[in-house]
Amino acid sequence: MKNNTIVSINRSTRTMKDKFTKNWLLFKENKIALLGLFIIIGLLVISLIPSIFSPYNPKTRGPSETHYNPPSFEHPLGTDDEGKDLISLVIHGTRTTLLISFSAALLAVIIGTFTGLVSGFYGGIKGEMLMRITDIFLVLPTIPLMIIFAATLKPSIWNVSLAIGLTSWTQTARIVRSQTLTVKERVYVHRARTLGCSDTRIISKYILPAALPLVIAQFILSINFAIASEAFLSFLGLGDLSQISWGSILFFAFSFGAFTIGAYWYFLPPGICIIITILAFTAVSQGLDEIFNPRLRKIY
Amino acid sequence: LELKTYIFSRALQSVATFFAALTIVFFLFRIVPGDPVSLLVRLGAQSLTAEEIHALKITFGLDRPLYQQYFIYLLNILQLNFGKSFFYRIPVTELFFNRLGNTIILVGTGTILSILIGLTLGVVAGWFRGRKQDHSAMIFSLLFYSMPSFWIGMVFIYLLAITIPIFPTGDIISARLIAADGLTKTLDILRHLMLPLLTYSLGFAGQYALILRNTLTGVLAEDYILTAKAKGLTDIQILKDHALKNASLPTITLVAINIGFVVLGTISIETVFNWPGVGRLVYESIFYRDFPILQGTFVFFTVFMILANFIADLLYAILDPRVRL
Repeated sequence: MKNNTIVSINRSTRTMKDKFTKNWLLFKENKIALLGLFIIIGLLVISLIPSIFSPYNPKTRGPSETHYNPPSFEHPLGTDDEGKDLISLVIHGTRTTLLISFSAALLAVIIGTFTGLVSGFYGGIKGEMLMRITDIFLVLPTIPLMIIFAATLKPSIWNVSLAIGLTSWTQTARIVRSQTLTVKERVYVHRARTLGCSDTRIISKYILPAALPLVIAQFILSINFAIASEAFLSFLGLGDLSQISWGSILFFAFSFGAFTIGAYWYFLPPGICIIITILAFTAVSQGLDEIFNPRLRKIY
Repeated sequence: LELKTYIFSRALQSVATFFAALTIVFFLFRIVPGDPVSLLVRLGAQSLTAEEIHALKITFGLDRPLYQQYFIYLLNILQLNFGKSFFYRIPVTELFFNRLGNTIILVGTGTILSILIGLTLGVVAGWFRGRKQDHSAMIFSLLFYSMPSFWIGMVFIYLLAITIPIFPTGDIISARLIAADGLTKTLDILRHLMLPLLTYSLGFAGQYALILRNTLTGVLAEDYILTAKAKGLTDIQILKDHALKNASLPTITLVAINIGFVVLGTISIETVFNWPGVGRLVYESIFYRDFPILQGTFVFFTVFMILANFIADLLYAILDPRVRL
């Protein structure tokens, strides 16, 4: 009996590893997705040790003749309204932007997955009630709620993440719920239930794994949503403006009218960084999508 | 299920969602540290006199127990009584209806244009999946999809109003033309509308194109498309009679899910272009710390989004009887 268990564990780890290798080989085939992955890794490295990459301290202000300087040899991306070096600002801004996006996305996906699993799994009157209550929350107006959360809470990195995360979980919940509804009717789940498996065990062993690819895809989409939301909230003046982020750079560029005095080097770089990051995450999610939805591959 | 019953239950659910949103916000104001009065002060009431603060307390019922406050709050909102703006010193509803028309001009024209561009791009990309047309349409859509709309606005102002000064940098009308006659005025407003409209439609066209292309590729992989091909139907016939009809359903839902981006886009674009609409009011309420406006615009955008969702569900139910089950 003991031997049997060991063998089965070995087998399951081996198939997990095989599956991973197989999927990685498939993912590698998609060159754009691979490029996206490298960009994300690069951004993570930059956000961990920004000082190595940035030529100046991003908080050092310069004398008045250094204000609004166009790109030059000393300042590759020019300077802002206070003479601060823009390339250093953008490099240091990576950390805050990614930190907010990851924590907000994580929060959104955890709440969404939990709600989706619970509201989809239970049947009977209890299930029906859970379903109706979730239905009410699934169509909550995300953006207006996010604005009012951010306006009410004191602006800080965590509160901005909280405002985004607490309001953007509904799509994950919707997707996980419909997957749960399908999977719970599969024969192997019925069989497990007949054998006396508890609800928690069925959810964690059968339903969650089946929903996991969707959850991962949603996590990536949530990161993109959070990056855009951070920029949007900062632009409205609801971000933590004492922290350097791509959004807060854009806020100051907008407030000082950088685009009306022709200081393109002030507002272009943070925006381009946002675009590249969102595109990189989108590419990775497309790559994963092709692995998990084989029907998409068949067409070629 | 009968269509009527379905509509009724969805309507009921929408009302419940509306109250859920209001309740969340009510408790949000009571959960944050400090009492609601000091929060109001932080949100801008410091510009008010002692009497005005006292009047505010009475309006919001802040001297009463919590459950009474809640009912006063709901009653005020249902009666569209949001109080007077701290900054403009006029009732929020009046301010709001002064601005609504301008937002409808921008969002109306923008939505039509973005759907036209988006659907064209999406159909081209979906049909030519994996080929050159697909790639160019997708690069275009993805680029605009990933750009923050206020940033697109800043770039357009820099390019087309500053570097090459063809269009004005913002506002809805030139100051010297406010008293002008009908045609001159309309033309001037149109000139001011161009850049915000372009920003709005390009941003949303990308999103619509991506959604339609994804659903269309899904549909084109179905067996009945293969059957249609085997029957010898022409490409146009397959696209028109088989693919687009089936792709339109998921597209409607997805567009409705993304209706929040309309709100986001309206606020961003009206702010960048100083377009005096409802979206810019949100920015002003934050800038001037004007709590009554913030609350009023919140209720407006909430109703708008819930209503849009409800209409999408209705359309879906009429087009696809299966969802009523």
